[in-house]
Amino acid sequence: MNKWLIVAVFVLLVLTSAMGLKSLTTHSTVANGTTAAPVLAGSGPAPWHFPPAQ
Amino acid sequence: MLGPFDYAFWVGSFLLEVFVVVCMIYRRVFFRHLPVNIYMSCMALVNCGQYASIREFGFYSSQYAYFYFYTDGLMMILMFLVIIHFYEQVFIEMHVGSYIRGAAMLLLAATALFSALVIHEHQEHFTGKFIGEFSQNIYFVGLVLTYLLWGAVLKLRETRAQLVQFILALGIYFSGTAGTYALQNLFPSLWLIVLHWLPGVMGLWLPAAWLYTIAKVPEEARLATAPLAVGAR
Repeated sequence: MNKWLIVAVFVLLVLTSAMGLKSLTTHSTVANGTTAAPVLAGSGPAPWHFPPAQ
Repeated sequence: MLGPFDYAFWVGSFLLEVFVVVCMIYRRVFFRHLPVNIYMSCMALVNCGQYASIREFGFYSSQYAYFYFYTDGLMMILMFLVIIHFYEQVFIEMHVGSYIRGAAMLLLAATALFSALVIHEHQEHFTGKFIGEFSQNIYFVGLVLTYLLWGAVLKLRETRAQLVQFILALGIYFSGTAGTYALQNLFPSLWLIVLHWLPGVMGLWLPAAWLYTIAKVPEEARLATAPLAVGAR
């Protein structure tokens, strides 16, 4: 039980750190649609905007 | 319009990804690093799909954009599994595999939930926005996990040279991409001049570094523990 508590705290720590890092490096989310979505794991040429304009 | 450099990065990364898998098979470590091989194989297939999509619909088509970002989301999940595989390798002697897998599943579910909450008001094109948001978030979760893994490798004085090089290459890949985001936001004008090349360079870096590790570093090679790391303990 205690070990799973540590796991839960670890998960929370990683999530909050990740979101903090994200806010430092990208000032917007995909949801607001004002900036191009970042190129992540893809190695091919990235489209400029996502989701594409309809 | 795609230029010669775009094609060079693209073809180069495709060839390197194929070489990584071929080299793993040749060295008979394909199943030992199965998540890495699945990731590299899928990445090579995605590259083929991207080429077919551009050929059929064009680079500026929404079909290509959807294909690109949907497969990117799937690739990020596979990358997440690669990171978890490295965690299991580093902590193999502690027999905490079940806890690592449990934490990984919790993280994946929490990230998906968080992404859905962020965009829950955007009912139009929900799936597309969810994939984009989820890819971003799981990327940053992977980045933090990789940094923590770096710390664990140092703290546990990991000496398996191949494993250390795999993890270091992954950390440089994540750091380079995160740095690109940061520079893009600080200096948007630099994007067209220089920054848009960086994702392509990073796309080349990861398979190149892993290929070098598999081809040149013997599996039994061990690192001498750095005096600084010993002194810090």
